[in-house]
Amino acid sequence: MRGLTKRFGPKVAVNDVYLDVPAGSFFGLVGPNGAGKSTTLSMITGLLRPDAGEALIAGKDTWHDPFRAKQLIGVLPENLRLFERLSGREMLEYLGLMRHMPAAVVQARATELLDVLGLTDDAGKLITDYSTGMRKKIGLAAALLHAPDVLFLDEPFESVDPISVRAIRLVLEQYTQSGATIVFSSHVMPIVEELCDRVAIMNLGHLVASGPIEQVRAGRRLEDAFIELVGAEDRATGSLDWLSQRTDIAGTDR
Amino acid sequence: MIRIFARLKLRLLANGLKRSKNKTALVFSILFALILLGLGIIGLVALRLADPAWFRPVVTSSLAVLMVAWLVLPLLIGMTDGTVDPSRLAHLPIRRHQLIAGLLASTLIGIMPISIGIVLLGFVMFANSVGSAIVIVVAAILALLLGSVLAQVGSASLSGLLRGRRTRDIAGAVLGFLAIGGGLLAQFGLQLIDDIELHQLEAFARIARWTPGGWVGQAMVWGTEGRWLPAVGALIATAAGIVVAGAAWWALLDRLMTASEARGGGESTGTLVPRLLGRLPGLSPAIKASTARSLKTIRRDPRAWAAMAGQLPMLLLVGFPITALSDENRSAAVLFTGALGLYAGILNSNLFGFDGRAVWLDQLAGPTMKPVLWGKSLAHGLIIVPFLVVIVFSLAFFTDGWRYVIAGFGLAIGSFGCITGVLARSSVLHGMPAPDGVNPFAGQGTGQGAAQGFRLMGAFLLGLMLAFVPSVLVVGLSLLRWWIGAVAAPLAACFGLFAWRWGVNSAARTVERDAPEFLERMTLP
Repeated sequence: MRGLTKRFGPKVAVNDVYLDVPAGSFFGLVGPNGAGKSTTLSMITGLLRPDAGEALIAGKDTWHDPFRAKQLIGVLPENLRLFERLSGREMLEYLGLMRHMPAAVVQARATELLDVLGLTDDAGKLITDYSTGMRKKIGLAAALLHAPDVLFLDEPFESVDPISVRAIRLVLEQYTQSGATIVFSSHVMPIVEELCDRVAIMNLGHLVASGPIEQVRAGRRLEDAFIELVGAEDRATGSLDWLSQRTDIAGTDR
Repeated sequence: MIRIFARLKLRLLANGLKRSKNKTALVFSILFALILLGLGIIGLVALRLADPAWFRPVVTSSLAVLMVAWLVLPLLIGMTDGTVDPSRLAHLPIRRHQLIAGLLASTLIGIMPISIGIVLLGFVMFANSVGSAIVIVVAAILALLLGSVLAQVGSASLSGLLRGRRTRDIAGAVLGFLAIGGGLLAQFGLQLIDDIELHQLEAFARIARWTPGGWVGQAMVWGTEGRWLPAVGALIATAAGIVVAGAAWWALLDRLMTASEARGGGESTGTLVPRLLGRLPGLSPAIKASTARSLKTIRRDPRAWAAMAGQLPMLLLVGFPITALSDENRSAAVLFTGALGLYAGILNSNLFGFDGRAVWLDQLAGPTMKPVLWGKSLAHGLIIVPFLVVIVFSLAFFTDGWRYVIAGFGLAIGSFGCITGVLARSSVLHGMPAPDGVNPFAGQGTGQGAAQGFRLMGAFLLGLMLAFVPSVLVVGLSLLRWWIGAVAAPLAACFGLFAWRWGVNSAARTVERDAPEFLERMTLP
């Protein structure tokens, strides 16, 4: 990333971010809500046009050569937009064909991915009937189908049950062992700490720290380092006394 | 890639039919297409039997009008074909020309394009040689491609504009002009049907032949006359028009597939409206809050906004030709506002659909849906009633019909109340959820537009029946003695307000009683 910047009206969502992600790394992008993580990932993957700066994936500029750049990447975006009236299997097949993959390869890979992600029984169900977690998993399967060089995942573990989290983690670990690169955003610090070898912390659109995870956490837990770096304060809860003295709208005690 | 897109479209349509509500939409769509097909074939046969002198102006004019309608109508109804939504393919490495070709192919797979294609190919019955047959077939295919591209470009450009609040004002003006243009064309068409002479149509055709649709018509005409060079020239011009429209689509696709604005944007919502509403007497805080929210939704939501901004100018447009009546009856034009009230009520037709997702929150917010529905209904009333007042007074000013002002206003409110009451009820029984896509004018599947059109027509007829007796009474009495009409007008207004109250309360009861079914109706796809 070279000077990536995005403004939404008066608000600067991402401000002049420079960041290098080494090939083959498992890279975590963390930050509080509104830090600019999803905006950054969207700009890198060609889903949100930046106001300034450039995003290069293996030397291919996402915005000047989107065809080549998108050939290299798999994306699980935050607001996943799927063809709701396709079944999970059908969606994987059509996406594979649109990526010019041979039909037989698509079918074999789709079967395997559905199996690993625990979606085999629901493969014929329309996506509109999928739960949030299932949508996340089918989105991940779509992102992995063509075995991309770089995988971008925005909150991949959100709304996913613990069994599926385990399955996804195993898939991702296996995937990085093959030399591929994963960039993912998450709020779940223990998972970031456990999976990632490098991490970047964003706050209010700025990059406040980045580097090998050991270096960023400097002997502390990642969560402690994160809280210190973003300057989070303990928020007083005293003003919410009414939560323990519940009354209905008319003022009658329950 | 074209084949993959075509298969994808067919698969999406086939899977969509697994849902019963989509089956209904398909039935309506087929019905609508059959009506159009029937009218088209009847028109072709009538033209074949008519004096050959009619061929040239009819073909040129009808194809020019068809292209304008193809561009404008989806915007006003809000239903271009968005089954294959390009924003869902944004992360794929698909070259833009492949994407355009694939989307065009998928657009052509549908009941309406096939019906229009059949009618266009029907012009081949006018061929008098193999050469002319070839010209007509090529022209028909080009017309089909041109119309499909224009429809996509129209909705894509407007939805691109509507994603920024500032540009919505510009888009409003554009949409208003389009609506007025469409209205003028419709009026012209009605005049033609009523009393047409060949020289009038030829005059229109002379203008129409300079439009892209007119070029296609000219190519067909020149083909039948054996004038090959101009015919081929017109076909090349049409093909060039398709390329230009395709280039515009190309540029617009980029905007549709990549977000350029924040989701939610951080724009100020203003406090003036909530403050003013807060001072209104006799309304509960819940209704005031719901009204304020609905007004904000109309301002923010591109489709709700376009429905208002695009159709409100039609009120003025439809109202003022009546002032051209003979001097004897001119002042009675003010009474025409009864019909305008009915028309204005149509804007309420999809009361819940515009912010369909919010109904889930509404369901959780309280034990009754009355405040929510009343808020939505009042928000529309607050926008439309001032328009009706302006029209009543303007008509009175232009026609010197001041004595009919009270009757006119009573009629407008009465008919608006009747249609709003009926549509409030139909919107919970047959509401259409707003599309879950970047393009607010794109339907989620085939048949949605036609189904909505039929539902709207049914509800409109019911509203018309309801408003008929008081309207006829007031108009009749006004024409007999203007002051008797003025005395009766408040009764018509009260009848309308009562119908409005009945409709909204009854709709709220339906939602409260059948909440799960209602939520299912309002849930995509």
